[in-house]
Amino acid sequence: MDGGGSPIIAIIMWLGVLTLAFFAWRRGDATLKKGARVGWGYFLMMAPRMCLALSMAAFAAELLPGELISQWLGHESGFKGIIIASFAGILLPAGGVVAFPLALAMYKIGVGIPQLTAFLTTWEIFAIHRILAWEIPFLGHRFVFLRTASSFYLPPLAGVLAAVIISVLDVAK
Amino acid sequence: MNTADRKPEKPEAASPIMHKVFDGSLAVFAILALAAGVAVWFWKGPAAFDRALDDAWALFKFIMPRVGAAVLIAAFLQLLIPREVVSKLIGDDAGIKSVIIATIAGALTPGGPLTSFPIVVALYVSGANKGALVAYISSWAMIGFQRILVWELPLMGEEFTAIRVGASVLLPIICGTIALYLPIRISIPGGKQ
Repeated sequence: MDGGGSPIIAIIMWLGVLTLAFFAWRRGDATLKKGARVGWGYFLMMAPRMCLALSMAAFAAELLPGELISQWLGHESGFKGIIIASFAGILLPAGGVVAFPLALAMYKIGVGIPQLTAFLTTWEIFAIHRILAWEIPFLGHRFVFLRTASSFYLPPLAGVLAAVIISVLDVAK
Repeated sequence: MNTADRKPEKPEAASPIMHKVFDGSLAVFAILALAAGVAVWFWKGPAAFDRALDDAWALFKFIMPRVGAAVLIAAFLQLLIPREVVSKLIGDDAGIKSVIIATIAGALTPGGPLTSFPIVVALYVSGANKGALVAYISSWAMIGFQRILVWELPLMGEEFTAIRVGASVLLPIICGTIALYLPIRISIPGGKQ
């Protein structure tokens, strides 16, 4: 399992659930019940979408030109790969349900962690659908302008910092 | 993950958010998955198709226990950390200190854009500076705990997540500080009385 991890994380997460449920219960009101209901609602919404998104990402992994992508965005692609990935992130007009399974597919076919970090950072702060549907209506185009002027270099910077972390800690080679 | 179970400040903005399990977005996912599947079958053959489905199923089984925990954590935190607490964290503090506080508040804000964007409007109205506003929304987008918990950690694993979050954790402070000093005036439509 390339993208996974150990069951320890799952265990820690469920311990977190128990802790939070305890705090909710201690309030003595409907918080515990409401939390379970809201969580169940999330789950109902996510499970079918996740099922489809994971299939889509697995199919995409078969379809993506793996050699080409790992040549452009692989561990060896360096700063050029980080820049390409930073621009590629703009082209992902979707929420986390698509972005992360797709990122996992890219990870599996050999896209480097710094390049993937740059890609995800662009998607996180400049996802075009979020700017159009939320940011401009709520915060106005001047805010978008201010944010772009102060943040445009962040995706490549995040990629470079990820590369620094990897080489300093000597992990994920 | 943008179905925060509460009303936003602008009620008309709530309507496009799906509160139902089955809606247009699910149909779009189904069509995309189907199209990708057909393409794989067609170009790469049935063996590749089976392999892809096996991969997807293995991953689904692997992440479901984590997703189950993550949605409950997100739901409880949302109820236990009310929006007012996040707003109060920033208040009308000025300077870089407010940028740092805004970064922390953004990372702690649960929910999708339905929660975070109305908070920015509320912070603007209550006098937060533009650097804090930029830091807040950038922090929510880059290192928001809910997206990390629900999507990144289960799918990408702890090593990738730790490296990406480590690389990103100071960036909201940097862009917020720059935004603070950039000579660009903002006027927020939602903030007009």
